[in-house]
Amino acid sequence: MHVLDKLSALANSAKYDVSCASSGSTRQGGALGRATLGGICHSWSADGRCISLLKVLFSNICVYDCAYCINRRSNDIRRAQFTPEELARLTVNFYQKNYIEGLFLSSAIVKNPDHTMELLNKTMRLLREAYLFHGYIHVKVIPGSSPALVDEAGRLADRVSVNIELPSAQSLALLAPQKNYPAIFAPMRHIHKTILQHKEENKTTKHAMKFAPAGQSTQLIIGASPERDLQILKLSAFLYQSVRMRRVYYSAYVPVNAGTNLPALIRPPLLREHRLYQADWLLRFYGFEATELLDEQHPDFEEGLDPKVSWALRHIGAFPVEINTADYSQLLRIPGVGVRSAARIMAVRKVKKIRYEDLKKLRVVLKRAQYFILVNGRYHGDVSPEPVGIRQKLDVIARRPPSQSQLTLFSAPEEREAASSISGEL
Amino acid sequence: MKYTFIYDGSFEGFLAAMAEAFYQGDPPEDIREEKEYVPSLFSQAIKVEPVSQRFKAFVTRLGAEAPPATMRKLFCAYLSGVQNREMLAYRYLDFAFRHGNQAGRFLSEEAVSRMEELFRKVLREAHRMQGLVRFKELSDGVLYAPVETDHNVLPLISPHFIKRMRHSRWVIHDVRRQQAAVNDNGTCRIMATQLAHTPEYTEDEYFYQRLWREYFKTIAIESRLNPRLQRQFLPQRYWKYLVEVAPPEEA
Ligand code: SF4
Repeated sequence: MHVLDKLSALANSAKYDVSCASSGSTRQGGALGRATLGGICHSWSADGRCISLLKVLFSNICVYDCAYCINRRSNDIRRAQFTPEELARLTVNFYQKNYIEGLFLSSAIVKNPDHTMELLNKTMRLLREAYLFHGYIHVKVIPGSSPALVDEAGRLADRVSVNIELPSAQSLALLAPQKNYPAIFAPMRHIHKTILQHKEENKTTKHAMKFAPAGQSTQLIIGASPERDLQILKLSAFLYQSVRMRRVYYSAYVPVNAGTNLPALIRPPLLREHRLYQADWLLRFYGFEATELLDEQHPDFEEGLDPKVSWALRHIGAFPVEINTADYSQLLRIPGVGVRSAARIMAVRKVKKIRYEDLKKLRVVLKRAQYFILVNGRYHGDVSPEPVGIRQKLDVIARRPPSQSQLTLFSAPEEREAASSISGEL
Repeated sequence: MKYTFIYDGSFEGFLAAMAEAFYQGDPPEDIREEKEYVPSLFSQAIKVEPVSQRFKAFVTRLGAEAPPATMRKLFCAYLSGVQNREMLAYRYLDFAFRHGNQAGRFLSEEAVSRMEELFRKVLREAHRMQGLVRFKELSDGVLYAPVETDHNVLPLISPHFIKRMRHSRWVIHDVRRQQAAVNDNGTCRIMATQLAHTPEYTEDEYFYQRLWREYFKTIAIESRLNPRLQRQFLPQRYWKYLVEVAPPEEA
């Protein structure tokens, strides 16, 4: 098979994986390459996603049969497998031409987890040792592979990830019968421990080896199984806390297969995915807790409102907030005020009183913020500060019940309850 | 009568013109690069020498009295090439000298916010170009990347590529400004450049271009197609030299 055909088949097999970020690592001094801290996009594909890494599967010849996956054994698709040399050379050439920032290396399960992991490691060894490649490598850890191989992967890569895929153990058992939660969480914890160890060693020795300097990440598929946003967000919060996950990626389920256990979606739930990313942001940078944003009465985000607005409307008593006196954490909770604009407000306030006209220059999004702030005691909103009126102004989907297209498919209540609170499972 | 200060187009000249303008005290009518200058009846033109005693004193004053990063902001304003960049910088400096270290905080002040905006714009393009430069392998082994940018970002992006590919011979050619950053083993210079003839590429180059186009096409998810979003991130004015979206070159 020609490399062009392999590339086409194996990129096609990898494209539903969303974690394309190349940030969070610095690596320098090699013959070729440099991993930059901010991450660089090299192009944007026709679906508007940033292309930063060459994202391919090493192989799509899978022995597993996960219901949601295009590469499952029972599917009739083009099968292909790179050799480590082919993939290494491809990466180096793309890198040199500045097409990419590095490699996102993943694979279907070839024969068994250890065999697969060994092939991925071999490819990375070639890149690092033979080609002296110092660009970015993100490698998928194959659940079930032995700790020694995971360790080697961590030493060769900038970032490692173990994908959880489905947000509950039950769903995973149902849709990916050959996988299980313990086999996913064990390497995650192992990686976390090893990263911490290396950090300690780095403090004492000068030339300690690097281990996954950009940390670990994971991915959750949204909408292939019945979990509510609340449960998903709690799982993310848990991961950020317990294993210091750098990023949790959310991937709207793209229906590539039909199956009795799968929802028959017409379109991937993109807006839901978007809301989860917004909420994830609020967890990481805005000091929100998962259980503040959602609760048993409101287990899902409203599609028409961003999570911060939605939270603010349920806590309208805490608003409006005076821009000239509120403390930083209060500013952060105002819809339309971001981390940067909050910092700008704090800075400008030290030298002068802020007027309403100034806010635009400070990059406050007045479209939303106007309803939640006072400036020198004055309210500037174009409707009175009541939830009903504000909602009418800000809801992007007028009167469409949230997530309907997905929920009707899981109407049986027992099924919803079966996917129990995540903290009990971990 | 007010003065118009004219400089030679170099960054030193740009700074020297600022120095002269502040030395004269009253706000100038204008500050202009020589080749952009159109004589006017209402002001007296003064041609500024790039490096003088006054220039040195001014640079010292910048370090002592202006907020941190002012030099970098001035450099970016200079590189921006936009009309009025000199007077924008002048007004910013005028404000900055009066408010010292605090000046950066007056974001609601016109003179400050416009300068900051320009600064951000130039940096944004520089950051974007770090991703969008496309090197093509010439038959003599040199990696050649033509670009057309809004601002003169070569001085800003070269350090990144030196770190990235110190040991290769590469050229980033700013076609619009007829300049190129030329790297040979970690020594990188920016020089006036024009192509003598159409570049000849290696066989491999065409092969990898095909691979990259194939990858680019394949990676988009059909059910998520969103060309508007794509163009928002990747404005069409940059497509000309992007292998994945420009018409394929023939071998
Ligand atoms: S293991 Fe499952 S998810 Fe991974 S490639 Fe195979 S079928 Fe797909």
